[in-house]
Amino acid sequence: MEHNKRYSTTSLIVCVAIGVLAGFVLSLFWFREVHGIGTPAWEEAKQLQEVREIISYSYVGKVDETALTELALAATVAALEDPWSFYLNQEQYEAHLNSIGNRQQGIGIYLERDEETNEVTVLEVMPGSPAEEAGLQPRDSIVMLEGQPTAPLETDEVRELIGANYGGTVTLEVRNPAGEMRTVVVEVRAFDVNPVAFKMLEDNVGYIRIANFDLRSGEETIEAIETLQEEGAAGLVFDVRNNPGGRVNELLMILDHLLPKGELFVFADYTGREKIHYSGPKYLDIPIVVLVNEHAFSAAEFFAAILQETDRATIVGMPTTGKGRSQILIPLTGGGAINLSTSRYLTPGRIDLHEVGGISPDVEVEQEDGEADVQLKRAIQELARR
Amino acid sequence: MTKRSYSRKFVIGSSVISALAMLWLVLFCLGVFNPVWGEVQQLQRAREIINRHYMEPIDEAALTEKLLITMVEFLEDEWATYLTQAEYEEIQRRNENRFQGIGTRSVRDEYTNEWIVSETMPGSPAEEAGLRSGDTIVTIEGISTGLQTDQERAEIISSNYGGSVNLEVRDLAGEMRTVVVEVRAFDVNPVAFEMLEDNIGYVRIYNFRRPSGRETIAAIETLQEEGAEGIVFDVRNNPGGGVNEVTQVLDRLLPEGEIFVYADYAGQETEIIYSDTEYLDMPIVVLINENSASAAEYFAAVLQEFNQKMECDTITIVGVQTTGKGRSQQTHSLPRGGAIRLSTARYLTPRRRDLQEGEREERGVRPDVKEADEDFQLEKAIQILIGKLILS
Repeated sequence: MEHNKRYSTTSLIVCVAIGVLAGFVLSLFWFREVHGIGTPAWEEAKQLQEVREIISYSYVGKVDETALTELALAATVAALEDPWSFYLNQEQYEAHLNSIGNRQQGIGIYLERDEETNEVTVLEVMPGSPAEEAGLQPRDSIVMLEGQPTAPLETDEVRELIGANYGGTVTLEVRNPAGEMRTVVVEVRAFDVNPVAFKMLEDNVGYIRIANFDLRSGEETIEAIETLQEEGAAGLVFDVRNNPGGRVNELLMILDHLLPKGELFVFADYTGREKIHYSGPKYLDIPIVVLVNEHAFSAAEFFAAILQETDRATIVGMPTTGKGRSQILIPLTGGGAINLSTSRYLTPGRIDLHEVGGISPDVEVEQEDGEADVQLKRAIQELARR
Repeated sequence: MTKRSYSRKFVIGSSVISALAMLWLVLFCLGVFNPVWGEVQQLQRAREIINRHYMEPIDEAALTEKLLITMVEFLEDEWATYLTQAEYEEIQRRNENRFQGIGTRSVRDEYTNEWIVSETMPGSPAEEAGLRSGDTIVTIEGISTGLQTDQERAEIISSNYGGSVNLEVRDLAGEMRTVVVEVRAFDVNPVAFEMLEDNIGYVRIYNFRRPSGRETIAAIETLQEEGAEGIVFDVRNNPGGGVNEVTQVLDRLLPEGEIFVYADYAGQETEIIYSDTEYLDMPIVVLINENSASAAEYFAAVLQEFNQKMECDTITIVGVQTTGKGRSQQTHSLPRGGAIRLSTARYLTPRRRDLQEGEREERGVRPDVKEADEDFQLEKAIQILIGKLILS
């Protein structure tokens, strides 16, 4: 027969007491580890929790707690008073991810309302988009969308109706400028957009337009350079006007290709401690002109600044505004993300573009809206001079 | 006696259960199971991210303060505010009709920029020291006031708190004198009263903060003893105060019945305050204006409704339509200093009117007798009372 050991009341009490103590210690330990009890952040969180409880229990009106949190997150980041730091809610975050990935969602057209016919008309078709694949052309009028006449709709409504079919297709009745009707079925999906466009201009001038320094801009730019060189380019014009910047590694890939061995890019924290990126020995020995304007930011400004500093290029256009802070995009577990300035960066000459307020072109040329591209014309002249 | 004994399973089981219970208890006390917890966690994670990755060190406290201001604004509660610790202390004192300093209100001289006393608060150190309105304060602690900013002056005075300041004063006749004024806390009576001609008592209630209830009742009793036959209650420019104070006064004035109704945001009534049988049996006029808010306009509203309900004509409201505020606020202090003040209840008049409901022009209390001319309002009140006294 199995002998069952029995325990006395005293041992029971002792064991329960040990259990209680263990539970207490365990909870505090968990708390300390997970929530950093006692840290300054914790103190602030307690303050917030108190306020939230007061609002939640005492306020006379109804409160949308989620909206309040979203607002509080936005306010927290805004309180840094850094123009480049911001909070994104989930929806904005997804859109932002697409944007920095050089991805678009939809069918890939820009629409306008034709002033004469009052029809919804394609203004532009994005390269690589489903609309391009389906053969949509600029100046095509979209007469019907999924069997519904577009005449009474605003262009925004048309865009929304197309977007509602995401993951599938839309059927469009299209009339071309010649008046011929046809039916086009277009996929509605995400597609990659090439941030780099290039062509060979007269007199063997290679022209490369970099729309941003986001995903794939590095490899696409290098590919453009190589193609133009093969075609016999004697000089290059890099157009980074209206370029909002992008990723450091894309920028460095291009700079490494253009510049000889040396410092390329200097991260500096607020104490002045530096982290330096260097260029390899290979470089491009060809005259370069860079086009900038007041809407070139961040990586685009830096691109022009370092080429100016190393005297590798002539800078043509208008002064930039000066951004010298790099950001990272940090997703939050509850949805949304924070785009946060994490570092200052300096040119190899230790210039903080934010402090100096941007770069001044070697040749300042103003561009009026709607007139011929005088900045590009001047760039080509300067290239000949180099 | 047999000793109780337990199996091993039982002992282990009870230990584990008590451990879990304790775990739950501690987490409960820390607020983990509160629905607000998750929201705060979300915020805290954001704070941690900012702390760890932002390019510069962060002033945590300033960040929290800005955040709290934004959150309070979000509530769309026109009476809600975030208060810094200093503002909170100031408000606490004000709620008791207590002030700190020397107790003068002043204006700048147009030409010399010197400080001219426009008012000395009753019961203040300035009054005790003999400062009068019209006196020019030429220097404070030897520093010329014409060269000081408002803030510098406030700092000099507050840095001498508990002691005194030396002032060089020029009176209206141009004579100079030196005045030593204590800098301390002092109480100001929110109620002033006097007997006017024709046995009409006049009671001015500056606000309904403590101890306005007690002081108003004392004023009524004194005036009654002196033979008052009618009373003018002047609540013009009275910004309101505490529910306790205003109900104390209403209780004294009105017979048995409802005098205050609390409600939640949905209109559900949560608490009703009643008056006892004792009341003041004489004609009353209440003077109101556009700056009579909260408790002050509520005071007028309840008296007006009583008059309408009784179909009598003992109470008349004279002046201009009031502000229209129907939310009561609480000020909650916060663990790290500062406080938030927010609307925590709606209140309704005994006839279930929300003074804050509807368009601007529908809000507040409308006078029975409109008199927009500030200089003539009291006269009008006296005329009405005299008319009633003759009739009765």
